[in-house]
Amino acid sequence: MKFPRRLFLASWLLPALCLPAARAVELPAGATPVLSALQAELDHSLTALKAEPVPPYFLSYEVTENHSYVVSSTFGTLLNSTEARTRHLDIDLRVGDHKLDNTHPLRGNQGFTMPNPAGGTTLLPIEDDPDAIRAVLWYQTDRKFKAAVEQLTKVKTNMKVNVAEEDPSADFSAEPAEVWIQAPVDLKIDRAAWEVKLRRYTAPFAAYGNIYGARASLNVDAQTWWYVNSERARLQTTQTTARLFIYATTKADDGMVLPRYETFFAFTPDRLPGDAEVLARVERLIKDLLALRTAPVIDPYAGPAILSGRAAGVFFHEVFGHRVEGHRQKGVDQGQTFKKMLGQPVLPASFTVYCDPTLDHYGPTALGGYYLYDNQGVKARRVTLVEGGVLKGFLMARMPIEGFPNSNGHGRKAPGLPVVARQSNLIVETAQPVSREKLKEQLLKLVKEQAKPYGLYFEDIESGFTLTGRFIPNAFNVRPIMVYRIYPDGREELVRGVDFIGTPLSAFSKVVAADDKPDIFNGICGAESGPVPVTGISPGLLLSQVEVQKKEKAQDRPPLLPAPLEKISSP
Amino acid sequence: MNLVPRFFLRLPAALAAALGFTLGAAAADEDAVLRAMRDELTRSTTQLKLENLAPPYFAAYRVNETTDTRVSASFGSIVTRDRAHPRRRMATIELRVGSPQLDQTNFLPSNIFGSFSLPHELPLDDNYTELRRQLWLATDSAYKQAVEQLAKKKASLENKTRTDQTDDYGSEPPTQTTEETPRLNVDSPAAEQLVRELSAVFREFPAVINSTAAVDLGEHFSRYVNSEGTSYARRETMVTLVVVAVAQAPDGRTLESNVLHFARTAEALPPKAQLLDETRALGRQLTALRAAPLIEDTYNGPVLFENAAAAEVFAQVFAPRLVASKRLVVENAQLEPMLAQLENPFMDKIGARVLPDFLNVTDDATRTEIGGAPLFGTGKVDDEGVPTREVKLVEAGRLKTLLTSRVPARGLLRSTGSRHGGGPAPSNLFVTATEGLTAETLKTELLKLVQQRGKEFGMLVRRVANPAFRTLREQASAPNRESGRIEPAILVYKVFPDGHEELLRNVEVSGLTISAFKDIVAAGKEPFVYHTPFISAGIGRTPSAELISLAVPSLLFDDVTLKQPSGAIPKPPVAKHPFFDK
Repeated sequence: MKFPRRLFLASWLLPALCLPAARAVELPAGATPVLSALQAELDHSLTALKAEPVPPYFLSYEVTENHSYVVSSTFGTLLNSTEARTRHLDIDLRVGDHKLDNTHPLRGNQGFTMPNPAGGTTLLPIEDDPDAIRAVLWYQTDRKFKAAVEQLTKVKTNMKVNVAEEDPSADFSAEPAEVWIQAPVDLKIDRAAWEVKLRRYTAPFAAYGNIYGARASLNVDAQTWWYVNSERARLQTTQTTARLFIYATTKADDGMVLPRYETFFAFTPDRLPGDAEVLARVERLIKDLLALRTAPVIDPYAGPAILSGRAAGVFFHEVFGHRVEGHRQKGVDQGQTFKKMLGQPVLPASFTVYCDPTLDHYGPTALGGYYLYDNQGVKARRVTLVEGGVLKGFLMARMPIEGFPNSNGHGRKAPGLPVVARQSNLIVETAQPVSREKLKEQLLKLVKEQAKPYGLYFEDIESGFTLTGRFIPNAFNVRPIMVYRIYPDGREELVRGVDFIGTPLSAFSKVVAADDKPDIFNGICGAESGPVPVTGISPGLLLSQVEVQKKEKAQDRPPLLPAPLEKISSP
Repeated sequence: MNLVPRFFLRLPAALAAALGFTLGAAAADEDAVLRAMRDELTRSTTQLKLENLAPPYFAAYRVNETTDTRVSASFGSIVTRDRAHPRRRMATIELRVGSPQLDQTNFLPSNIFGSFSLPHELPLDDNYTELRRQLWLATDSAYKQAVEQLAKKKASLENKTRTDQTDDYGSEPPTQTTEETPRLNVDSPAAEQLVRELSAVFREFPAVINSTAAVDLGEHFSRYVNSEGTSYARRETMVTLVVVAVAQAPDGRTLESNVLHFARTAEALPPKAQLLDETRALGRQLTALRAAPLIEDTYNGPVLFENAAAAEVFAQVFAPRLVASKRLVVENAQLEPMLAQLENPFMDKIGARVLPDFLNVTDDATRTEIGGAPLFGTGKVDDEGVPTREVKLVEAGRLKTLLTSRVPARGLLRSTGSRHGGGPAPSNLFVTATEGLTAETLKTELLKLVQQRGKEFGMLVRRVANPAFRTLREQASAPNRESGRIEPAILVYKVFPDGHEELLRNVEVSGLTISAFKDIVAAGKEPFVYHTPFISAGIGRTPSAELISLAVPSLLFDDVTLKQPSGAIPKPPVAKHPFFDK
């Protein structure tokens, strides 16, 4: 068994109706009292609200229960150890119609606007008493309704005072109402045992006086999710996840902060790697950190480079993934990099890129970007983004864009924030892989052709940020951690102090080949709809040209006094 | 810089600490945390030095350990549950470079955010070496920040003369203190059951549209060590119970009230039966308020603030003026007017009349109770290890002094032992009247004034909202110091010459400025004991909330404005509450 997935009903589709009359609906077998309370209050509140002059045309309740454990350590000692159970309520209430509703973005200079007090998330009782749950639903629905009516008036005025929109697509798509019930799964972990393990994972760092930060944290979560909407969608899903994150940092004598990290992801904590494997990686981190401290700083450079699979996964996530999120093709302040590239080649013809949230594993590795339904109750599905090197589509939530009237199950968010299109499992594949050795050979050939003193190898990338707006250069900046110079004689040398920069379309046009060893990066992606788990999978890539610039550097020196340790290991 | 040796020589204990023997040797049975703090502090103050720049002349470590268990419920069902009792251990480093006459503090750099030093998280394990490692790293960055800030401050002073010529830090003799209160018995299931039952009470009150009952069981253990040999270890417990309920009048205006209790232990809370009664009374109160009329016309005239209302008004308007404020040196001269505006006007009122002749105010952290009621501002030493004492603040209406920390301010050179959190704050405040009146006589006095002014009725306020426990923020007009608008009044009554009272709802109180306190006409005999968080805030430092106690008698003000609240009125709910719509 991969992870708990007990199903009660196959999903069936119901036609999307406009508001059906508030009649008692029979709940699917296996539904918990939370789902029935949601359904009952949706019907109750909607009946009353429908009589208002500006009635809602859509209402949904989404409840996310997290039973989560966090255990963290630093240098072999415990930092914290907690367990919590919360239920967050999110309400999507829309007035107007699918074409134009209260969620329509306002154009022009809106100045500084205070967040609407009716926005944000609300805590719901964690016990299953329907009366207590409904009391909160009712109160919050009323607040949302009033805020929505007010907002619609603003939207309509804004439409009148501004020019016609470039993209006249609707605000909300019609989607089938899904019904799907999974039995909730809970997780119990032995916190005391994990405290011992976590201490063990950061203990090796304690021998070093020049490693200034070392943290390990375990996040285990059992999530149960309920969703009902006025189109008769009724969903109850459950998923457990376990993440182990290890992070350590040192400083070079010139003040440069040098971080290194490892992440492990599994659907249950018992499937995380064992101590021996984790500790081997910790030793590797230490070795890398000590090597980085004394590694030479390189100057700005433009020339050929190889990105490891893991680095390429982050690269694709930042540079490509964020730019194919549907709403970024619509916002008037968005760069819309790929909007006009649809049907055009953006990568070599051997490349395929897709997002597939329905995959829970890739080979033996668990994928964090897995889910069954998105946060708008739309069924997850595979979305082809690039086929034969040609751009084929975008990631869609229920906000249509020109030429894409429907969601493809990528409306995602963290509790309390509005949904936008986000990535799931982003997978880059090539039909013509070459071996790693061959890729290196090709790199050296390019070095020679371009008469460069060396090429670069990006082994690991910490994270990145990308600017997709219009008023600032539409650029990306990814922060490599482990970078090597590869000299024409094949010698590799670790270097430090550069960021990998560029603009997306030009960087993409430089991809020339890929290796045969796809690597997987499980991470948490942050964007306007909050942190969501994602995965990036890519083979190693050869780029005919990359540009690196000097990294921003802290000016603080390393600590003035030596570490207060009796036994200090120095490199 | 040549002042540093003098400073140390005057304090032999500090010298000992600096050399690191006595304390290290005596530490055999001392806990690992305190030992790590002392040893790393000693090393830092003696050896930390950046090239030709001086080492710190003073350093202090504070390690605050908190274990907070919170449970809350709504409508009979648990919303948050804490059975993990999350514990955190945070260190703050206070490091001074330069000299007591001129150091890097009391300075506002242009980059305000760069000058904050955030607490540093420490391991929970009592691991001596690892605690020292974290303190070492935190001290290193505090030192670098301090020397940089001192350079900026000196540069700013090159073309200016300070208006406040007092030193940056005052000296106090070293003390060593240990304070323990009984440990907290944290019974989460019992706390859960209590909030479940209290919150279920609102199933009896259709008028209440939103409600919560919550209990917070907190244990705080603070350790302090400074380079002069002062240290303290203080364990405190605090139990807070709050029940908040919200109703909406037929015209849409919101009404909010609460039941609030503080205690040192869960056992010291009132019995469950009493809490249930009080919660029902809260439900009845909101139901009655919902049906009460609005005030028709704006009322200007005498207002009697009874008991809790008097204490709340004193805490909101008067108490914040009882702490000294030091004028900061600013890097950006454009900020001067803002600083001038934020200065406490009482800095210029010492010796002047601030209350009527018959009122006195003292602050006294050494008292543990009044008339059997516990006080929560109590402590042997303040947050700098300075012994607390009784401080007479106002005598016969004259302001005598203000509460100070070791940071001297204009005319206030010694610490009153009042540093709580980031700066000076009250502890237990006692307001006494020399000719206090009984409750009945006070009401008679109010009616006399009403008659003199030819008014039909007078006004009586029994409850004013406490800003720390209000949940509805969007609809109320914000308090305003200049116009003397305070937090919304919850219970306001018209009092007629025949003595009968009529309840009003949604009354806004204004005109309660600091000078309105000079015109208090009469005060009660019996003080009302009240507890409230006091926000100790200042430019350039992180605000902190300290629970203080007040004993304040009822106060009859000569002239206060009561009126309908301004601002938009929300609409009543569209659908009926599902529980009562059956």
